[in-house]
Amino acid sequence: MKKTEEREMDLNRRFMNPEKIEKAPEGFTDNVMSAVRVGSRLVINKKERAKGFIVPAAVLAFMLVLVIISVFSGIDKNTVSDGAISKILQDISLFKIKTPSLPGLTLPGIVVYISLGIFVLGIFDLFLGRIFYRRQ
Amino acid sequence: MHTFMRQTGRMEYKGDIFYIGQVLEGNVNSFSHIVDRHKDHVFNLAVKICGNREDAEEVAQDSFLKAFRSISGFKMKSSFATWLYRIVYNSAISHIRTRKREILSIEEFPADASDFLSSFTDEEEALEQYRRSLVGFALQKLSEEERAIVTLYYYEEMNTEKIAEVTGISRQNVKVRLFRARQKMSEIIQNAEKKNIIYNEEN
Repeated sequence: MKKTEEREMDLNRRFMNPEKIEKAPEGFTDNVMSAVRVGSRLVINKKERAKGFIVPAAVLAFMLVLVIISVFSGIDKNTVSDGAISKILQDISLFKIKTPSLPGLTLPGIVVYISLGIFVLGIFDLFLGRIFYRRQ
Repeated sequence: MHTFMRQTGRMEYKGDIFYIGQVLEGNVNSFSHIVDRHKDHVFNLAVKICGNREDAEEVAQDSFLKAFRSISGFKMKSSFATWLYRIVYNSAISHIRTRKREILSIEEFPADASDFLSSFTDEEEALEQYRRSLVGFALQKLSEEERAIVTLYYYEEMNTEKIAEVTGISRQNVKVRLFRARQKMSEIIQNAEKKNIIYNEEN
């Protein structure tokens, strides 16, 4: 019995050793590297897109702060000097929005302009972003 | 550039750690040196576990991709090969289990020595080929875990401690499974040879 076992072990060693390994097919490395390159490109694009969203997010945050400031403080008419821009600002500040859901609460007209500004800039940013990523 | 180097001749391999460092610095092409170095061993392990070359190629490619994606997670606690084989082992086992398909369709060892003798002019060569097929057949009759353990033990010449690292099975369990796998293989080989002797005596 022991002799048979030894013989089988010998057979195993003879036919299963590092020299008898099955070789990978032709072009295996190139196939793997193509997949790796595609994968790494996707990862880089994701990172760049994540970076690309930082700027619009910061702009939006800044605009929101402006909106909040304008809602809560409005425009002090005493500090506004004479001139074309100051006249426009005065006109804007005179234009008040009445909120239907909360009676008695009015918002300064500048909110409408700022919201419109955010919307236009957002569209512009998306447009520029598309051109930029397409070029890449 | 790299393809050119591979075509014109083999460059001196600077070690896994060197190329891993290069990959981590953003040089994706350096990964091809690692693939070139390990592809045959990775493919062999995948073939032995999956039982066919098509599935093995898929598993081997998938394993290299996984290794590339998680290369920053390689902490050098073990050798890179051990870490890579662990990925291959897990990928191959899950590949077999998710597909749930019968990869090994051969129920009986299909040939006898006389078939081999008739197809070879050299009798020694025929016997050698017959025995090789018999060992291959016996290996494929084992479970996927046993096939992996036997492959790592014989083809990769790993000790039970390393096999335990790759498979995640305890060292003691690896020893037990290796012993059982050898016994099973021995029985399969003996049965096939007995059948062959009976067949030859009858004819």
